Amino acid sequence: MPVPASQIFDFIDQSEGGTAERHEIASAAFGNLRRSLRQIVSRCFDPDDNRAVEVATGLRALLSEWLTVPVPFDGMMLESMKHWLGEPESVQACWGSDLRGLYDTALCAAEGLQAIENPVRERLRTMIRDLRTQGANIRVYCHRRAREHFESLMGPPDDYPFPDGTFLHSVKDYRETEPFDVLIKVGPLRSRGWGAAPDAILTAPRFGKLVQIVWMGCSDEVDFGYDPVSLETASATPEAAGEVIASATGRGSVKWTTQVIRFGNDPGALPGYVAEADELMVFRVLGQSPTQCAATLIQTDRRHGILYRPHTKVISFDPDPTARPPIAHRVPGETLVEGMFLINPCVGHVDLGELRAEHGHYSNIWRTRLEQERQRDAAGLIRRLREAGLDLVGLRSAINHWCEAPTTVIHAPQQMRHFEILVRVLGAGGDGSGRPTEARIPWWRPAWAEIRRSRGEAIQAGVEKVEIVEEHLLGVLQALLPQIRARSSAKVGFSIPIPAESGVAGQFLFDTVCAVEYGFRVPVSELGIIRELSVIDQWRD
Amino acid sequence: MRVNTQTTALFSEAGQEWRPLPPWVEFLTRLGYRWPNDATAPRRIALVSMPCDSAGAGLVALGVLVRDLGNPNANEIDGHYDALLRYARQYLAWCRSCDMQCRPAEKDCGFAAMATGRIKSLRKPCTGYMISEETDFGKRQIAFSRRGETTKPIPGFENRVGANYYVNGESPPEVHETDGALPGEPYASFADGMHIEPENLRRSFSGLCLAGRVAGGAATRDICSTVRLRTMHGEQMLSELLTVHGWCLPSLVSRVTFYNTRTRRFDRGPSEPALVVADGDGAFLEVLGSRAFQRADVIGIIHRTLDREDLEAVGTRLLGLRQWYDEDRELHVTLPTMPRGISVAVLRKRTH
Repeated sequence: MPVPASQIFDFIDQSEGGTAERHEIASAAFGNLRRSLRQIVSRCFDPDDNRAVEVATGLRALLSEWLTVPVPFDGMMLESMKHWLGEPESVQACWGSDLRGLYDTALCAAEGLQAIENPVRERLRTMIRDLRTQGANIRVYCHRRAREHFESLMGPPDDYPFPDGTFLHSVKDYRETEPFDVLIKVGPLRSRGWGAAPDAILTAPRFGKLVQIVWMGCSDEVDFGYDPVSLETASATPEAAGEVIASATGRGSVKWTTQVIRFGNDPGALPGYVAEADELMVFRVLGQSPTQCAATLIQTDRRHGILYRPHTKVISFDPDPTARPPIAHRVPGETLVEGMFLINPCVGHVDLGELRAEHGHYSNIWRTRLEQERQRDAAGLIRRLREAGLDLVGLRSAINHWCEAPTTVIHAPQQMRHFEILVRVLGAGGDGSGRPTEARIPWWRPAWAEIRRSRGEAIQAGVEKVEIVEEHLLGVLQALLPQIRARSSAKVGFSIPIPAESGVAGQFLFDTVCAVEYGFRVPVSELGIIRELSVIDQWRD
Repeated sequence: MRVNTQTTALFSEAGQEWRPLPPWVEFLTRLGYRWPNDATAPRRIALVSMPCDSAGAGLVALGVLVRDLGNPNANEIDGHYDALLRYARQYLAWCRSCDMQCRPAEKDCGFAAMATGRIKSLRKPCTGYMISEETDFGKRQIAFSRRGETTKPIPGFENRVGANYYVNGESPPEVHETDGALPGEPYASFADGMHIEPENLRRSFSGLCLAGRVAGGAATRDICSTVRLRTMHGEQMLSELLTVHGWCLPSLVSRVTFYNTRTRRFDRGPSEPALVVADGDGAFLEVLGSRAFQRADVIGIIHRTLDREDLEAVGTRLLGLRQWYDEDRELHVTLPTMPRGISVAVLRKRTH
């Protein structure tokens, strides 16, 4: 529910303007790690080397997360780097000794970091405790998936957990929150991508103080705080004259007073480091490719989402009984909002002689085998998969995830080669009846096609081509409205078979719209496909 | 009608307690009230930026509505009979025999909505009439049929008698005083000493248009319904005071047309407003891109709690206008004092 305008204006009248505290953190160990990784990423963005670009994209996402989220310094940092780069010897073999040297430095730094607490987390915890002592009404602005790192900061016995309503994840959350005392933000102020926050934080503050904790060298976007009406421009922050710097800038019709407080020391930083190597700015430029396009993310559940071009119209269902029409083409973020459902028609069949792929047919078979093996000997299964070449970080948790019952999307490896390895190691295949099949292609292929269909991918290569929704499928949807309404009341994704009399075989897949987020640049081939959010992160701006 | 020089209305939002008009409400209603009403002046475009979502567009429209109540020319009477003739021609020549009812975009017939041929009468509100094919366009005489019987065209019908008839589903151009004219008092509270033409309280007008939110027609009405105003006349919702057709009961008079930004349709009649108040960024952009408003002044009301993409879409549009528009500093200095949190940009079309 929006907050009454009178309440906001009353708050504005009582406040003198905005106050910001910017806590800049420096750390020698973390500085070494980030500098090394930054250089690896810069060198690996070679359009002629697909593998190098893949590695660079993955590392870029890692470092971007570490710079904008209060992650703990633990073994996951080391493991994540190794997932992308592997062993130092293989880095040297692929890309030479210079890159190997940078990698060695990064590995050493990551090892050392495990012995200390992340100073950002330390600072954050201290500050929250102080604010709580003062009785301040606090809000934290962060990405949904960063929330767990904030929550892990405060817990019994020393601290009580954050109360409900503390976290704001979107401009909608911000719009619906009543005035409060302090807004906490980790990372620079950016309008999109990693660390994104609404411009309204500066142009329409409904809090007295902004507390920002950033790694040294991470600058706010120059034009953050955009107001299409305001003709004022922000004045430059004065040069540092000591540990504390104050400045006053205008953002729209709001005056801000900023105090910069610096903590820690990083001897490895070059003079003028701030201007030289703001990784998030560097990465944004590096990440732009002519084969990529801007995209908007629709998150469909805790782990998955779909990317669309901005202003794309997608077929959707609004469960609001007053919505007219309930089924319509809508634009994500504009007319397609949280609480609605995306509709993905999953049509077509796979010709395998006597076999016909009903949705979920193949996944039931290999998932059953996987669950059996997991129960029987999980460690052995993991070892066999790794030996066969399925070298994922966190393989155990991935297996657990793949065993979960599917909703509209079948949980499975993201890459085809990983899935082929999985099926081969499991020995899954056939229709379970024991009859030999007349299949002309390996069993895992239609199983993979089934997975891809569940993700919304068009099936090519001589099997079937999925058509986009035609006029008569829209009519079919209208006729199914009572059934759709009934199923949507559970507020989770579901599927409904396309009636046979429509002349089309398949399913309508309904995915919930959990959140809409801007600020991605993705290969065109990734649009419209359900992907895991951990994969989508690599395309965050 | 002479009025008080101070606004005496009380204000309540979202069921909260009554209070004198807050400065932001005063500002927005006065912005509308003081907006220049000069058909000869170059086109103006204004954008009001608010710190939060609000019924701001409705308040600006209210101010403009009050301003127009003082204008003796702000009514539909003079052109009403011509509008009925055009409607009759559309029905008889096109819509009555159309094989594609009603998909005007596909048919590409040039119309925005179907003419059903149905007519209502103020004298006999329970009776329905149909435009008859015995209508004589050469003599400018409209014939009606009712239950299969045709009334012959009445000479002199186009005189004031014609004002008793209006298109079914729209507002009549004028009502008899006893039939539900607008009460003067609520509007007088905002009139700042201006004289309100009593006749205008009985007459509809389509010179002011409110362009609704892209979410749908109900969205603007709903947020306007959260604002209540209390005057000597009593309590009314802002949505009622705006007199949009179908929003306001029980008066038939409508002094604000409504443009549904989602369906791109007006609530009544062909409309060529002199001023459009656009509710939200989507409506603002839609209005600027629509031929229906290309000669109208535009006042857009947006709020800054939007995604960057949406803010940039508006900013880019404003920047694009700078090729042909200049900042209207002259008007800017005449605006009422801006409360903290609100910013306004006003552009004026460059004259050669």
